[in-house]
Amino acid sequence: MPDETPKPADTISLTIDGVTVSVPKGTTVLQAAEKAGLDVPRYCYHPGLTIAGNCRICLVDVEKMPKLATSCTTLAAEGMVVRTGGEKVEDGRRAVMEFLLANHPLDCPICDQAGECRLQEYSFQHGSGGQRFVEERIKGFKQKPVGTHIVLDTERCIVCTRCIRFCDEVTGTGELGVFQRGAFSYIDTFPGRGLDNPYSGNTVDICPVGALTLKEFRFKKRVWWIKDVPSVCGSCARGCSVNLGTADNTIYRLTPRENPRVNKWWMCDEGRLSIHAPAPGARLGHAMARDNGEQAVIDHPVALERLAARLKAARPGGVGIIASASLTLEDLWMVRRLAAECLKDARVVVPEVRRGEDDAILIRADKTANRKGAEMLGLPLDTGDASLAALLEDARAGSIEVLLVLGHPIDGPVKSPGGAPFVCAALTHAGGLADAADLVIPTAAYGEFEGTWVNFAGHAQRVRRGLVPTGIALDVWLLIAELMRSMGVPVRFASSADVLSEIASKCEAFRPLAIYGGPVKALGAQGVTL
Amino acid sequence: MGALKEKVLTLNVSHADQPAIDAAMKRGVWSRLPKALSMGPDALIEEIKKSGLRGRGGAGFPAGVKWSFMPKQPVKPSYLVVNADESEPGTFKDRLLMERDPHLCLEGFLLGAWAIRASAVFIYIRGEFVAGWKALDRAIAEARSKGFIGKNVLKSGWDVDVILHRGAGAYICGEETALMESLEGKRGYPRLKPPFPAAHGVYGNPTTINNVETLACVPHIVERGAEWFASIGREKNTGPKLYCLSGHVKRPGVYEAELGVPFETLFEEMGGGLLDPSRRLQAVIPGGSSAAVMTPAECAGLTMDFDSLAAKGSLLGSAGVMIMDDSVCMVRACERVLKFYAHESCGQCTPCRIGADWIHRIVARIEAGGGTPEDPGTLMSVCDGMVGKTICVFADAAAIPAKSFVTKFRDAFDEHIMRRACPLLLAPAGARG
Repeated sequence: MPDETPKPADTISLTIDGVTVSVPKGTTVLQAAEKAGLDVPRYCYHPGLTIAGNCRICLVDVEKMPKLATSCTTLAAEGMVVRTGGEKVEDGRRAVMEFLLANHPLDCPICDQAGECRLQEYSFQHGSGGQRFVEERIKGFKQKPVGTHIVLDTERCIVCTRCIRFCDEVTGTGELGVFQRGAFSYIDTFPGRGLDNPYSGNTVDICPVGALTLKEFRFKKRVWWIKDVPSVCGSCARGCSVNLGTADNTIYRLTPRENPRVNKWWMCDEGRLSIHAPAPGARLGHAMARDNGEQAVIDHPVALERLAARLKAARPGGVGIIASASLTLEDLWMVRRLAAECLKDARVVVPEVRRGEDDAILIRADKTANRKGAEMLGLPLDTGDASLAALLEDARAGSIEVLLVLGHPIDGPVKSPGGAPFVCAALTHAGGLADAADLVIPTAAYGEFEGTWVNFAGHAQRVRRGLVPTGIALDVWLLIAELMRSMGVPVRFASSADVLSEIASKCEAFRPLAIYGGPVKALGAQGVTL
Repeated sequence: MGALKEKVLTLNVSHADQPAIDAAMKRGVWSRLPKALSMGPDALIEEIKKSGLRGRGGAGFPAGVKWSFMPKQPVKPSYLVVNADESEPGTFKDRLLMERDPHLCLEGFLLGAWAIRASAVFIYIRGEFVAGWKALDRAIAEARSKGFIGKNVLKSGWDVDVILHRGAGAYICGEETALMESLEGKRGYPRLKPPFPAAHGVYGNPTTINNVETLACVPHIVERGAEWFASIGREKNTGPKLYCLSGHVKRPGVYEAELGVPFETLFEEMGGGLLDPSRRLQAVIPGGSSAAVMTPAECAGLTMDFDSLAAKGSLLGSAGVMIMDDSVCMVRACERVLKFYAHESCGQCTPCRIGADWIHRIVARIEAGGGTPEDPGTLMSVCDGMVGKTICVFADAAAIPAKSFVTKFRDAFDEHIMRRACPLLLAPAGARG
């Protein structure tokens, strides 16, 4: 039966492995095959980079074309009939695989890429399983540091030029090039240059083989033990979608997760390496109180009781709350409820953390993950450090009775000569304010808590838990819920999703999340722009 | 047929003063430019189409048809690129023209540029051609002083500049799109096609690229007409052609003959036959080392033109005719050819990057006495993995001759493998000639 619907002039129909697909004009055969649900092998092709067409593994058989065609370079045409398999195609792919492995060291047992290596995958799918190359292998560089974080092994490299194109096209820094010619071609940095742009780690992600590895991850973990937990990076207000690479209750690596509305395929090195940054002190796992000049471990319920008693006893305007702009929406919502329902005229501040400049790619000067979310919840933002400075000044002057610090470690003295205020630090790590506090309550660290962040552009995404929290460390929202119960306000949430449901139902800005199935479902894998 | 009644392209190459513009003009060079300017570009293209002139660089594509691909109402400047990167082993014809008759070449370049309304001519000359570069450099300066190059050429209203660029020693930069990359200052990697140069060439502008010899034919066609040109040679293979004769031949050199000259005429009459008449002709590479090698039997009655050689499974290519007598070890010859391609593969595409090196190493191992009975089969299959699977035809240029050597001289390969040495090296001293 003829198709009755008029076809737009810029749409093309073609048949791939018997499946008819319609794609916009300008689509390549490889992209059309993806649309048809077929996985055409590729090394050099990357959707975020220009087309190089050099690896030749994506060969397909196009009817009426005398030779096999590379599907990444061939534009789909009306009525085209494509076969992504068959003897001719497999012969071509087997030849390409054999060429790629001819000089390859086959050091898979000690290669970090093993388990997520396209050479392994396509050998398995398209290789011959044998080895006819008996000549001496061409030697190259092994373990050459080409940047602060990047190590190059040219023997593993298949010269697909993805890394070169990334540095030319995405960062525009052009540190990498191909040197020598023919079988002796290798990738390296240009003389006197290092692969040190702020996005260098992406070259490791896009390297389809084990040629580029990240110093901070190499030899740390076999990738098949790693479980990727989809989450969001918290290092700046961009909120790149990431995968937490977890094993043994540890995050071994952070890798970007494709999200066209936030970070495409990339993330910056600062975010990627944030999990490897040295902590300010030991990880807090227990509540501690300063009773006789020394901090000592106390039971968590006791700690909450003591804090509740202090807050209840404070005069109106005597409580200051410093809440990090990297707390989740759920945390900040509970801060708002605590201030409104349990305290009188509490002074709440969400401090600003800025460093450097926004760049044209991803990096934001705002180094907090959820400042926009705090603003949308109507929390008082600290602008230019003014109100945080005022609050701390009042604290040092003795006019604040209780200072509750949530997730925002502050340097410098906060106490008046008379010993006021009573400082409760709900933090993840010891050191600084945690050491000076009267009461320390551990909170869940990055990877341990769950919640929602809204990036600078108003895009909300779900932050997920990949680790079992340390000790009795709790999500801040849960901590405050328990605190409010101790103060006589009956709040009960089974999960952060419940808190988010309340936010969606009570807060106009988050109304789009109030769908059937709940806000977590609404956010999905890639989030929602509010 | 075969020999020309009169020389055309090489008519003046023996005059020592020909590179000077006054002497060249006295002999008629630059007299065709005013005529072409008055004809107009479209009539010029038609004339070239009628002449049947096919590109002399190797592929034999009709020059007039190629020019007609250029945009008629260009929105961007158009360029003519002259491929003077003559690097095909066994080829030295453009070199002769550029060194000995640079003004004829330059006049041809200008006519080609006029046909496609180019605003600039880029001459990409092989870096090793120092004499040719100096001759052209001087010719360009002289032509500019006479008003043949520059603003408002001969008051026609046409502005054209000529830029002479020296290559840095890469065979692949003779591939038209790699040449353009190199010209732009980039690594000489062939480009993906489409887009083709006529749409997206040098600096992204419409570009036509022609070989030196092709363009050197154009002034003669303008002067004497398409019919005259088409009367020379054979059907669809018209005009005079330069053949480069080398190897075991008595008088090696550049010979001008009708396109389609019989191999015997070229080899016996012009070249004087084998260098050592007591030897036997063993093999002929008819069109530069990219062409499949041919046996004497295949050369019998052969006419040296594009279509006849293609029909025999080889190529006229750049007409670099290499003669090998029976003192040549065919495995060694194959190894030498493949060494060149292994060295010159740009390394962009996987099959060529690895394959060109691999097939060379197999043949080198056989020649050195380390061959195994599996090697010829592996070699053929590796070649199959290269042919037609890359961005440019370099992989074919390496694999097809390799296959031809193994197929046509299989005995030599088998003997090497069986005796675990090169038989010619094992032969008693003096027997190798």
